[in-house]
Amino acid sequence: MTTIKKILLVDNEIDITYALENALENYGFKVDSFNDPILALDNYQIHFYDLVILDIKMPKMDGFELYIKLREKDPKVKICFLTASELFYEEFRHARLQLGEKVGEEYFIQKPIKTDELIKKIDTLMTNK
Amino acid sequence: MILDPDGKVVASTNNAYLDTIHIEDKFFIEGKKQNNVTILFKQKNQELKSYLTGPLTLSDKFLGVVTIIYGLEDLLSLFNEVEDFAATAEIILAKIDINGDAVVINPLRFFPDASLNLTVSKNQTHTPTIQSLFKNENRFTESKDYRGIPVLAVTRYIDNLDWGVVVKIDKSEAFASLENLKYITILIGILVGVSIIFASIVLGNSISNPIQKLRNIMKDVTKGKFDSKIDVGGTNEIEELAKQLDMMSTISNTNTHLNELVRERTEKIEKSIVELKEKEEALKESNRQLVSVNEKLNLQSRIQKDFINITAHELRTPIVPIITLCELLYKKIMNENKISMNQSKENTKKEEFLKVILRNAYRLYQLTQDILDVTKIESQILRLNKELIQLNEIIENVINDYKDNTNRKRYDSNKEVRIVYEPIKDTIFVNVDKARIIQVLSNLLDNALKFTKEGNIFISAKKIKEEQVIVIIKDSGTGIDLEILPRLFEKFATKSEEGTGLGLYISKNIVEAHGGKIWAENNSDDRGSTFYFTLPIGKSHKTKEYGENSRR
Repeated sequence: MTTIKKILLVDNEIDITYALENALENYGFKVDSFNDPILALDNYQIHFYDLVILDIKMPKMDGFELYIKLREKDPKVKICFLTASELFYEEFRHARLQLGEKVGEEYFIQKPIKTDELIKKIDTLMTNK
Repeated sequence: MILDPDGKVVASTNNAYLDTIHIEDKFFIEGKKQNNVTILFKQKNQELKSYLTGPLTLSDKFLGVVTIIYGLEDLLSLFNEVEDFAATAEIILAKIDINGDAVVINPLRFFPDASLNLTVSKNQTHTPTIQSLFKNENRFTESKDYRGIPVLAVTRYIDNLDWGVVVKIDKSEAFASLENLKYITILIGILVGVSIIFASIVLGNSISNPIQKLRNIMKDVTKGKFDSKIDVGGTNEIEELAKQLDMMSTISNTNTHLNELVRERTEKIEKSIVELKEKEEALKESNRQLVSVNEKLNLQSRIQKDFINITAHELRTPIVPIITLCELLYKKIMNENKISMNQSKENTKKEEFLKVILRNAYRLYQLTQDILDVTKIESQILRLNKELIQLNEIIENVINDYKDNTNRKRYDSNKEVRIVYEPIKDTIFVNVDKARIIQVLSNLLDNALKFTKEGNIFISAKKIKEEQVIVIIKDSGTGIDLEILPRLFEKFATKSEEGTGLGLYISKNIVEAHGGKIWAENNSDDRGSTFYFTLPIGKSHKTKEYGENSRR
């Protein structure tokens, strides 16, 4: 690994960000995590992250809204959802598709996931064009 | 035809009238006001039409106008026929116009344009036309007609049409034979006196008698005896006049009949309109009910969806840190144990503890997945994201996953079980939800592994028909308990203590959702069992689509 890959993780559950941050950093990623989506948006560093991982169900601002705001700031950044709410994700995907934006199925990671599988998935997403 | 309140024809036996607007037309305006109004109307081609018109109401609500149009040509031609008998005889049909004057309905012999144009003032009470209408009695009169020529006329009033009928003949023609007689009488009178007088009486009677008879019959007719047949002897003209009057009775009867028919039809139409309205109301009502049921169903489905989502979220979320941190801890301990050459008994214990925790965390994880899948299946919201994909690719994907032993810690690594797969030679594409078919294969492999202590698990696939492919998973395990076999694919039909008892039920539903079948049997050699499932083969010309759908 020549450069350290940087990940932004947003989930309102402290235990989840704590666990994932530790697991991913143990693997070798650099992880910034936020439990407050608004703070995450305010502190967002453009062109800095290799991957943004968002929860969907969050108070104050849900993952979809945050997705749209982050896209405005940084149109090229890779954003994926790590969520337990796959039905909501399907609806979101459908809604984006109607706006002409293709949000691939692969940008959805089912929660819970084994660490090995999560890392495999993240590697795949990062190496994708 | 039936017109709506805006004067638009909504139903007609003549399609040419459909959707035409008549809001300005007299028959529509009059028809709105009162029932059974007859309006005569002359078309551009001089054809006379009669409009019988009236309002259509339902419990005092104005719905529109019913109008029956019929041509009067047939009726009028009757008169023409009877007019053939004498040079000057004619029939006048008249009715009262809005000013109270009499207006002639039919074209007249000496005034072809009279139809609806010739009016007779109501003050001219001496004219047969006015008498026919106002005196309301049947008469025999001598008068002068519209040409100023003396005529003999009989009149009749037709009650149910509100029409007057005048049958007349020029006096000169009527009495032509009598005039001739005069000269003969004078001539012969000179020669034979007494015999002349005798003769004149006899001959005179032959003229006056028929007329007298005619008058009597007329009286009968006025009393409503329309069926009285007139039997008159005498000159042709008078006879014909009588026949003509007879014809009038027939016409009147026809009219009565026509009127009754119209009334009957109108009643029928009104009745069917009422029935139609009732049916429409019933339909509207059931429609309303359907809409409300549909709304309730939508709400229900929405609530159910939300419930599944929330449950999914709440069940799954706590598992994330448990699994993630246990795995991390396990890794750290493994590393520690690797580094320290002689691993402490304490660390071996820790490793074992974590294994147990992890195994159960995975089980809990699997249970949440399965319960949610079952919920999706049973609330019929299991969605398939189909793509055209090579069957080989799916099967190899699953097998590689199993061979990667680190991924499958929940199984005893001491087991001597091998998964054997010989890839299909042909390229077979299937149009499936890849993740779901992987799930089915994993479930079947899990199942096979669970019951197989040692030996091989064979996986194979082949085309069975032109459009079907079968996947076979054969194990050499303990076989399926005969008690369970009949309900193997039902919920909780398990004898294993490891599984959730939902895997095969979910697999069955996934396979069936793809249009395939799944079944199982015990091997004939009493060693293990074999599971089969089929899938429809995807059309290979969609290979392009496959390319688009592949991972970017």
